[in-house]
Amino acid sequence: MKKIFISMIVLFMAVTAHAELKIDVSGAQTEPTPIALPTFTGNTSKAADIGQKMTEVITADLENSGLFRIIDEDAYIQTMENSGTMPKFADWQAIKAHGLAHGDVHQDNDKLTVSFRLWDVYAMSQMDAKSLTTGTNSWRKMAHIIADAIYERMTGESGYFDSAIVFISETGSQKKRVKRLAVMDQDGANVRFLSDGKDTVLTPRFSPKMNKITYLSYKTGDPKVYIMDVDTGKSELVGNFKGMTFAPRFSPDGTKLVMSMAERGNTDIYLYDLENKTRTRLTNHPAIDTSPSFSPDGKQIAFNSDRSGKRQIYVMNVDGSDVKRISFGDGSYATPVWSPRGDYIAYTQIKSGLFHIGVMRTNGNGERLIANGWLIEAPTWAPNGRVLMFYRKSPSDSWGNNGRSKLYSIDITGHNERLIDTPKDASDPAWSPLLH
Amino acid sequence: MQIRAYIFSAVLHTVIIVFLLWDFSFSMKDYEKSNVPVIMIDLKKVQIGELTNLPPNVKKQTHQKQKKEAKVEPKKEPQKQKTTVKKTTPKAETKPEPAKPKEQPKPKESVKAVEPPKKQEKPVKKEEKQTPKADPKPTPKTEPVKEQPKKKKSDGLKSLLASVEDIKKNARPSTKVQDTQETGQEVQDGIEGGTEGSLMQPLTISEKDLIANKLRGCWNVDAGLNGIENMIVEVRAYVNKDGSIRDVKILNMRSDPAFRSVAESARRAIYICENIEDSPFKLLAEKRGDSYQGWKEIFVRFNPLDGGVY
Repeated sequence: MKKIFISMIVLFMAVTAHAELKIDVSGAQTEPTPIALPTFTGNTSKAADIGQKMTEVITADLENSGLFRIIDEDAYIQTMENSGTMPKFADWQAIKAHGLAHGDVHQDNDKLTVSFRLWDVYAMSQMDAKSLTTGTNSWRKMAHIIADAIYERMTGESGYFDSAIVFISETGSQKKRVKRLAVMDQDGANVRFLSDGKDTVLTPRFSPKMNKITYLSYKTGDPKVYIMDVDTGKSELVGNFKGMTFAPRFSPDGTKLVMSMAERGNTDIYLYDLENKTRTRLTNHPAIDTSPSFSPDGKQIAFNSDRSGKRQIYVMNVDGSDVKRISFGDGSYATPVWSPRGDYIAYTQIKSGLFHIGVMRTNGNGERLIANGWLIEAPTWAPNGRVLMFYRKSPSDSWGNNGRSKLYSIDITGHNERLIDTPKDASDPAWSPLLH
Repeated sequence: MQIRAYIFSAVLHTVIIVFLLWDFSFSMKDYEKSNVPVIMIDLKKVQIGELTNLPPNVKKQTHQKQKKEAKVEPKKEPQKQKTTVKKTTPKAETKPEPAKPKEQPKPKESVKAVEPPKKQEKPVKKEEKQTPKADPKPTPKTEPVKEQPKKKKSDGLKSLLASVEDIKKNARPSTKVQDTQETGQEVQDGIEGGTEGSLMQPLTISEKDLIANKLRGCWNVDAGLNGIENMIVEVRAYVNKDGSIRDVKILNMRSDPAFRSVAESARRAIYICENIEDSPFKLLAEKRGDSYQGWKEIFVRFNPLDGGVY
């Protein structure tokens, strides 16, 4: 009896000792995360100069994502000598930095070694540390890789800063428009032209390995699909078909091309095997079926078709079976593009006299418009499926004449729309996969 | 031996019978009383404290006050309250403006001639776990230098406290100013006097709400993160008696990097809230110092989307 009584008391005391306050927190802030990024130091004056430029590129990358805010360096209390300097966390907490990224550049002739560390200022723990070695000319690429590392560690999603954009650079008047193939870094730097502008080119797309670009050209008069070898700059006509071919895209494994082909007045979707040089018809319908786009697992294809009267988005298996309509809204839908992370399909919607860019789940649910304009088209996904790029044409008069055509990026939440500065007018952007 | 047992049994039976009679006699009296005509009690006059779990001594005091108050004619308070609600209703809805595109700085790189995009030298990537050259031990946590003005945050808390105070005022009959003050004193007694020395006295709902609101303000998440709707983070904060945080443990960590990022942001929220002016933990230390055992460990469940993101 005594024992039972004692054990009951002990049990009661144990329960009392483990009593804790329980709090439920529902909802949160969605402000850009404040990060401290002291200028990277260098062992030589050239290294210090590169460190300064790299810090600027990393700052621009992170801030352009809309998810980070780099705290002004004037507010910093502690001076970080190099990547080995131990942070005084209280100094960084005082300026309300959630993260601290600092590093240094070590130059040895033409070789650069960049070391950096990322700290969780409040948990007072190291989140990441990397050391990268490259040639002095590749400092910009290295800065993008470091920005990606910070982005990945802080958000938990893969980065997209070390990536490229292939697009159409436009010059000249509306009647004599010159369209050239061009490539640049995702932030608009390093623009390179891949064609001379003699032939009008449209809708370029990267291959998954980035060594090829497929596009449409009017070289022979009719629109035809070509593939360019990026290293040699040589282009090759895809197949030798009688009809027009257009809207090409590579399969996720890069071995096939999906595109539209118009034969005897009917447009259907075909799969072209790049190794066997054979084609397979996927749709067989009197309506216009076009703008095919692979799902990231390569098992399905999204496309648009006017088989129901107006252009709507459909999804089918890669062999053409099980065609399902997934869009049912007002107006017409075009250019569906499957997200690389597989959760959304981006599209263009034309309704109420305006163009819109929207996203929907792959079963058609959760339809959401995120941008609009007089002419706004060609959405393309960043390699992490978080950001979209598109082009917007703003006419200079009410008849829709002239005006400028520019590239923009936007977060899939519909926030943070930003202009991508290009030297000339630009359209038809297509994002590359991550380069590193 | 057997006789003793019989005697014991007889005594016990007698006691039981006496008790039964005693009890029945009361029941009969109660039954008779229940036939007395029913007296109607106006429930509006019954005062309900907005703070829960008031200790018995406070409840007794409130009861006594009510008896005194019964003599005073009550005014039509409900109508007054309705008017107040109307006044506080916002007149116009503000629509969120779409984000304006910001111009990026022009690229410093000059436009080069036709060049393949993959000409850049691929850097050799080495991931290493360097240990800092300087003192590897983290600097002991000290109070942050208060250089930045924190007026905004404190205003938020003040307005929150003010709104809680308003609710208290509105919920209470304002017929007698003196009475309101006295009731306030009772509530104060409930927190500071009545709970003194009681280890298990739980926090009131409004106190918990205050802490949750402060933590929500300290928690920053990325609303566009893939799968965030399923990311509920549970952490346990170990709090010192002075309201400083000794440690924070993530209880349901997953290997998924996106979840890890959200979980780390939740842990950070505890530390951020520790350092803000009017920290909820400091508030606990000040107001609930005597029931430290009740909040030395705080279990916090962070749900990013349940209450909406701001």
